[in-house]
Amino acid sequence: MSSEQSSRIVITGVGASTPLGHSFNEIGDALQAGRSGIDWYDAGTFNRLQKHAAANVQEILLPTETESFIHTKEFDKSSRIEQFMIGPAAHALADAGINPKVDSLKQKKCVGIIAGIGAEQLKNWERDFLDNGHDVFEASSRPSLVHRVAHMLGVNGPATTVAAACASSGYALALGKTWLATGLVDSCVVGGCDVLSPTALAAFHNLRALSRRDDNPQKASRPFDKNRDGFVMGEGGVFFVLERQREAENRQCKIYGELAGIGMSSDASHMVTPCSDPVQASRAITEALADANLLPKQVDYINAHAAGTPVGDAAEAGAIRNAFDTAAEEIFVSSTKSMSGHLISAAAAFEALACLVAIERNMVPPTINLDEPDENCYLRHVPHQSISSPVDVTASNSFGFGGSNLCLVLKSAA
Amino acid sequence: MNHSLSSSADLSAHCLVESYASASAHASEIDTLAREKHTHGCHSLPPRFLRHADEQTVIGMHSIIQAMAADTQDSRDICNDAVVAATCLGGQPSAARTMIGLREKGPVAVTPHIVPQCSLHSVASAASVGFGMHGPNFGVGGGPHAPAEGFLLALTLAPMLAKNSPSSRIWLVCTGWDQQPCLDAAGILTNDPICRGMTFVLKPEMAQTHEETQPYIQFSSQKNTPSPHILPVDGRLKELCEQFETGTCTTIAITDTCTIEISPLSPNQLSSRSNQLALQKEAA
Repeated sequence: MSSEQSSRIVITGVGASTPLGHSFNEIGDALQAGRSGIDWYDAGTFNRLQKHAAANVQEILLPTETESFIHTKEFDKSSRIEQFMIGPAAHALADAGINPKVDSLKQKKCVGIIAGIGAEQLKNWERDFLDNGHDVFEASSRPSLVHRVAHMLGVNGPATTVAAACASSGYALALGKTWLATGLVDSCVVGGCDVLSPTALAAFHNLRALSRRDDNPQKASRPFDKNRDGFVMGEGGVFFVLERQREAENRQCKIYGELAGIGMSSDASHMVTPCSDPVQASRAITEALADANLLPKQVDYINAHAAGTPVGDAAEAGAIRNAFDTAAEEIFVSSTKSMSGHLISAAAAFEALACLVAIERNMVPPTINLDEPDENCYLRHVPHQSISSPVDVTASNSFGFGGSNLCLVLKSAA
Repeated sequence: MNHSLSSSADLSAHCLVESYASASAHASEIDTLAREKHTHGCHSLPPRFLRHADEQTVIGMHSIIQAMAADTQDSRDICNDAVVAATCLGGQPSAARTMIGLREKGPVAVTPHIVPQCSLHSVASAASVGFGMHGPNFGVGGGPHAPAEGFLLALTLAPMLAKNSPSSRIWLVCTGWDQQPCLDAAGILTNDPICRGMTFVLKPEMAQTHEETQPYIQFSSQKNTPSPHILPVDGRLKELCEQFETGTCTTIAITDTCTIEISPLSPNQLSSRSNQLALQKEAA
């Protein structure tokens, strides 16, 4: 085996709880069918003035494969945001065939965990406040969710939370790749989670960032469409297990794909509004391709961040054209947020999962509701229906408030 | 914690501390501090930039300005620098007031600023946007482990930055409260705790080429790290600031076999640094 192969970082476990399903295959089927996970959502007592289209997860399931990690009773008494992390993270470990509680002792393996969560404390305070609690008035310094979950799952290596708004879980993947490359860990659980909440819905609504279409919730998320008017919030948790390829192959486990390249940059332009100058966003893409040692023309599919906001989608289209130059004419581009909604902190991880689905099925998921593509978003779109096409290399963009730009390059591990 | 290190570890990540500074203020002083001009040389925050910022962002920006003033590499371009901000329970007073508004007046009372200004990434984003840093920016921690997680991820980012942008530095900004704020049912503060920030300007190095007299942070094996002070992984920022500013070597145990070693200036160097800063201040 070459040294290049031994240093490759691959994905060997997937766990998810999302509006489009609770497993790799279920989510893959939804993406392939162009099925929307968006519906009307009631955010509770304090939502009486608004009706929201949102991508809600009705029931957060604890997969049966995770019974060696956590008991159902313990899961049931956890908060919603905890469940969105515990379930998918445990499922990803089970899927990869890793049990940190056992492996750390028997094989002296070090397992780390990085969670992308943008506003964990805010969500905890809000939940407690709505239950008539007082945490937000007299905050206690309890360990972050990632440390509690690491303890629960027996994760024995370093644990941390990272946040870059809507790119949070993408940063978790990127930093996890570095932990493996430097040998800090032998395997790493990476991903992110987020929950719908009255405060977040109201804040984004008041910011005029959410779609205000009130005819049909399934039609509200319209990335790249001329009539888009904002994004649709969603919730969920998506986690992966990353390992070095050599070790994954030695264990003969399933390899979903390779995390081949990462690129990160900042617009340094505005705390909220995306930068209309594509230079920094396209720099993140270019760096990711360089990190993967790939040329733009080698990319088969781009999963765009495109959330359906008028400014953001056009800015991203410019960044893609800038980074890929003439190759952009040939590369399929879609936004799976048209189906999943915007999972905020979990969005980048969900979209990495969509790329792995595309690779496994040689299928490009569509941008549903793309009835009339905006001429300012000129790209090779995949409107309404998925298409069959060889997919070996994918790029997934994520951009967050505060100008955080991230691109992940995922490719088949063959 | 039953932690271990990967058997194939090559933790050569290493950063020189090219500058550092701390800042602190009581909660009652933060509004005034936010209205001050945050300027050093050609670097300054836009006017009214901090008007919606939470307390930890204000103190974080203030510590950045102080670190700029103390920077011996003052003339260096920062446009490709990265920001890692480790905050602990940020945005609490604003969150309390927002939730009171939500309950009393409904969603219309929720400020849109709560998301960009009171999240874990807010300090990092404010630094990136405010000072024009185009390298990666992200928040880390959120809880009591924040300072340790900040050092861990700065060292994680170091080899990547050294490879992609060799002249760039990492601005590690740690913020937190000495005691958490207490608020009454109307959202008014009933105590006046100290908000603290410390900025480390880190220069990633591919290999350890520095002189031993320079302050640095690096991964090290716990066995080989004779340190007079071990900061618990959930050690408080106040303690970290005190150790660094009094020239005490500190280690943070990340795993059973891996620590982060934080080596500050020696007491003699600290003394000459404070004289130099006093002269600079006088000249200004």
